[in-house]
Amino acid sequence: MSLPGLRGRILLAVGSIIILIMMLMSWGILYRWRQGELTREEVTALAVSRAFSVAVLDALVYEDQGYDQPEGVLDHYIDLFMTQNHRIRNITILDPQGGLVARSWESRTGSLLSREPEQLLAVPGPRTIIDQDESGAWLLDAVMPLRSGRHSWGVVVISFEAETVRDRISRVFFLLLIFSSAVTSILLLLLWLMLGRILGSLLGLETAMEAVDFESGHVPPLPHRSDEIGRLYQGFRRMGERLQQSRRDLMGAEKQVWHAERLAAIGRLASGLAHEINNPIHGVRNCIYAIKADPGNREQTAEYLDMMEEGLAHAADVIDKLLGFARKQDVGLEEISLNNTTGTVLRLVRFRLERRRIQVRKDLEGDLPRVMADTQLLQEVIMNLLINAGDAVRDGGHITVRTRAGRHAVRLEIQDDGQGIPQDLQDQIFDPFFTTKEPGQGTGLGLSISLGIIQALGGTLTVASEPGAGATFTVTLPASEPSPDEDEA
Amino acid sequence: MPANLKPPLLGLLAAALLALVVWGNAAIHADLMDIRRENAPLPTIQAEGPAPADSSQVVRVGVVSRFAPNIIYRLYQPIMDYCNAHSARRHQLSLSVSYSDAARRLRTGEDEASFLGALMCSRLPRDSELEPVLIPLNADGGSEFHVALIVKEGSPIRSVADLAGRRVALPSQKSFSGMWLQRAGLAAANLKPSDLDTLQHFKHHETVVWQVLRGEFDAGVVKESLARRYRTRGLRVVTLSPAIPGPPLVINRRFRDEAVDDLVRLLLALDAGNPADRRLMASWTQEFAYGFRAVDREEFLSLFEDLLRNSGEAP
Repeated sequence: MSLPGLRGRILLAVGSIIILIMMLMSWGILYRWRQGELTREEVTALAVSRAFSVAVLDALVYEDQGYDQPEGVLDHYIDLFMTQNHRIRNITILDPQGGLVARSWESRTGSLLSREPEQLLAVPGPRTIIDQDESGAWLLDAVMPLRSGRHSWGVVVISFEAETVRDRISRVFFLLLIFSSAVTSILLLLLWLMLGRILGSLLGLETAMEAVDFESGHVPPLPHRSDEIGRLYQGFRRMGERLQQSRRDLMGAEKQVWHAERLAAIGRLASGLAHEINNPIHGVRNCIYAIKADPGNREQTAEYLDMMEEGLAHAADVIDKLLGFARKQDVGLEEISLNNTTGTVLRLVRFRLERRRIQVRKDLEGDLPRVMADTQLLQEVIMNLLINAGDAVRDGGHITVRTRAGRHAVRLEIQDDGQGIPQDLQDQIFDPFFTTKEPGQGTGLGLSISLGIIQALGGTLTVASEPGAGATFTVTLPASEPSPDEDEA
Repeated sequence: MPANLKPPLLGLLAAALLALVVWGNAAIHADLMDIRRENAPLPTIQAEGPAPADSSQVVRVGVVSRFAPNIIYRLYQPIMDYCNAHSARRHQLSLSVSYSDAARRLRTGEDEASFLGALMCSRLPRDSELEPVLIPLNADGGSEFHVALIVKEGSPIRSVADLAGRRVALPSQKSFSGMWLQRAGLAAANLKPSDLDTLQHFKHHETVVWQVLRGEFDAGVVKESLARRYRTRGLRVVTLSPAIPGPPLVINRRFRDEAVDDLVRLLLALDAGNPADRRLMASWTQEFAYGFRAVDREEFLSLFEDLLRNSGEAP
């Protein structure tokens, strides 16, 4: 995200709208005002023309009626009007036939006088025309019929200069332009500052998001605000709280799943153990039958009693180990030996593996650094890996258990010579409930739980496999003390 | 706007916007400065010129120029237009400077008819060749008209008797309006002209109204129709004169011909009860807004008889 870009985009979009609105408003006002100004000019011109035409009409009526009038009375009227009104450029009086009755001596005339006289004489009422003359000067021509009822004495045409009103329009245009530009600039500046404030708040939120500690669930404090940004902050805080709660719920669920998986592992063990326990029991029973059948054979009785003792001891040992594994204990880290833990688990699964004549080769490095781990959890991981390896190999197959020490870590490798794992499944095998076994043969949680445990212990669990060439699962755990003499593996 | 808009593109858009604003304002300024316009297009038809100047077809109707010529024409020319519209002859106004001048034009045949003052007409000798043929009707269909004593709104004058020591404006002394107060009105209130501070005649009735409204005279006498027209502009009517006939249309019996008869017929045909005629006459002088009726000399004089007798002037 580019905040300056976002700020610029918003400013450009909103600014365009503001500028457009200001321009349209200014233009609307200008056109409306100009309309009023021109109308006012026309009304004024018609009023002046009407006043002039009254005097002219009286003079023409007197002349029409044959009364004596001062010589050049119309010329005097024209001179008087033009002297009193400096905006008049020309006055022309036409008779009903279009002939010239009188006119001012100024040569400048408006466009009206370029029309046919018949057009002017046919005008039913006062008219105005604004146009340019031949020299390009703007003139307002007013034509005033000298008419009473249907009796016509001709028309009066008066030309007023119109440059003044154009100057006024231009002046108001630029004044309004400056004003609207200033208002627009102020609005854009305010918008820029406001955007900076809003985006600054978002940047603060982004910083806070970056600083969230997902391990502890700590959300850095954000300033209190009562606006929408404040609501966003509150939402972020609530999201952090829900995240913490979800993490707690997830951890609880994981523990339950781990326990369920352990019980499932016990179930799987039980089938093997039943065979291991039943064998000695059947042996003991046969020994008892044999002793009962020949109580006097002391040599045989002593031999069978030894066999019975050995069988019962074996059964008791198996049961003790099973109880020790299945019992749910408090999780706690302690320095433990990876070799010892591996040996314990191997003894637990030995019966299961031997039943299928699977040979286990132990390659445990001596003087292995201890690791900080929970014994029960680590046993569960190793057992999962060994059972998976046992399930992967054919009867009579081979499993190699190897431990190695590095400078700061110890490594446990469980290698089998089974069919291997296809490349496209290697990324999925650690997913919860992913399994390639038959239904009822596995929960699909073993590797997922194992990965979670190892990661919780600060280690890694990886797999390397080639199809048809078996698979190797490697557990790497940080050493609780540096290895004195080994390089990192 | 695309989300990946980069600052250089923003700059281009901003520059385009600025260019658009500059161009738009320049175009608007140019358009604003082009103020070319017509408030209404000029007609393209041929002007309706006056009728050919054929003196044998012209009927001249005299009017005493009591107002400025353009006002006289505004009030009386529509009557001529009406006649012209219904006749092959061309009727035109003939302005006279006085009632005497109008009577002279009738006697000499310069004018075929003339609207004369009622008082002057009443003073014509019985054997005069001039005779009234039409008198105007009032709003009620009668032929009586009044003159009014007017004062400015707020004046303490409530009757003719209150005029003692006051300045009074009157129209032409040859009109009934100018004569009534001196001959009859003051006498009825036991006053003489000398009891007034000032008694001055003016040429036009409007002049009397303006003198009173300006406060240069305390009271004045004008036609009732004019007094009513100015009532809303600060005038108050104190009293009215006895009824007299309105200004008659007078002709010269010696020159009476078909054209005159045609004029009389046209004016008599007007009917104030006819909405079309009523609308037509609304723009005429108020005295003729309700049409005319025929009258002869004897009836006309009989209408004046009592009034003239009361004013000490024998019919």
